[in-house]
Amino acid sequence: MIRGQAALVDSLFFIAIVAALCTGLFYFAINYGSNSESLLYSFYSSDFATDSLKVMTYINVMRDGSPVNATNAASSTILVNPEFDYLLALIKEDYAENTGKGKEAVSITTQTAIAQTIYSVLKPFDDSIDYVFYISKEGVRAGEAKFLVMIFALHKCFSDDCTYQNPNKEVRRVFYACEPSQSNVLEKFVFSNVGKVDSALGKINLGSSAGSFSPFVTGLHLWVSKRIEPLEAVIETSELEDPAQRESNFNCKLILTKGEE
Amino acid sequence: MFSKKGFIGPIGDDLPSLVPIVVALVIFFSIFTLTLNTYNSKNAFISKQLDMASVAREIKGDSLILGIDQFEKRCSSIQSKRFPYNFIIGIYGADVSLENISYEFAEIALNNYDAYATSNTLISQPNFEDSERIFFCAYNRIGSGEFSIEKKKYSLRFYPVAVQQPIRVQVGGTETEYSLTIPAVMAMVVWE
Repeated sequence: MIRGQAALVDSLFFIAIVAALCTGLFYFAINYGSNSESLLYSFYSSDFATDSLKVMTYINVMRDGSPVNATNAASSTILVNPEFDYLLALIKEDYAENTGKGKEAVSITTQTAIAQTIYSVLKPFDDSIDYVFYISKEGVRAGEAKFLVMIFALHKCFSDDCTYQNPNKEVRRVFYACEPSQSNVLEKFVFSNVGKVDSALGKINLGSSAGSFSPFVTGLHLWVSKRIEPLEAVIETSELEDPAQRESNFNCKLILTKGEE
Repeated sequence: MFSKKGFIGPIGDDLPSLVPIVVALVIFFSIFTLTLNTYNSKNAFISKQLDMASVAREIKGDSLILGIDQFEKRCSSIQSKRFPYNFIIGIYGADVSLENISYEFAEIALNNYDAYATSNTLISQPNFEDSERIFFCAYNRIGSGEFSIEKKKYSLRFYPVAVQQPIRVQVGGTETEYSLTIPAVMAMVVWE
């Protein structure tokens, strides 16, 4: 009887050891590779943002800022007296001509061209993402204005009922050109509200008419589109004419609307 | 002498203790097999994603494709490397909806990879003398299955690219050939 009890206790010890081993194995099976997977996805999404920024700097636009309409350049496609150029060339020209003359460093036509270009580069993903593109000065002190250009692309509902229950609500892509007076507005009002942001940064040099060159940073930040009321409020209040109500100091104006009429 | 009362046999006597041991062994080997399968499948998934990223990088280069010749050269360079997975790569204009790309790829695969006859949304490039060529690249390993969306064991990725296209420009009655760089999207599907 005692021998039988001892064997039973031994087997219970054995099952306890096996249970501990199984728990360890199960934990390993569940967690194995999840870090690598999330790292791979984050590589993909940051690659995506970098590719988009690169494409923006490569592509041609018409001199009036409209996109070139020649996706399938068939042999019969002939452009008569076209005036196209690189988007970057338009920005550089504006900067050289306008700096120090009390004008906007980058004209509203070029800002619209930038908005059109980002729209055409990211059009296949337009339903799912929102983004901001900017050109900023390097080495600016905190609180100082640093943005040469800042284009916000958001989805905006134009229906009376914008709730999720209304499947027929009219949502359009809107572009705002903003002139924030502070350098940390993105971190303060945008990145803290939108969740995971995929970013790409680049460097360009812009030369003034006096012949001096200054380094600038180009940035593109993408995030999954979602209705974020604090962000909308920030952008909307900056549209108000009364400066006292522009709490965010984004100073935005609507420059382009895309989508169904 | 010891009494043999209640003695069933060498195994029968230990039967109550054998049950938990057998149960423990069954549980252990089940979990062990599950872990091994998960380990192998996750390794295969990660390796596929890495290979996919490396092929995409090789095809798109620095996100700029300088024409169909460069694209075809990069494509044949990958095909000759005996890539361990099957893939289809197509370049679409930025104005094309990408919602049904998987279906289009499946149709192309079904049509013996004749993308020219199957798709009218892929970017093509004229050379002004011969017929157009389209930005399409496929690799199907011998003995592996065709691409099918029903299997659901495929990975689909999109990459923004700029494509340089030759275009004829008429200025003052004279026609000249120029290069125009347009935005596009490279779609890539990989399956085993």
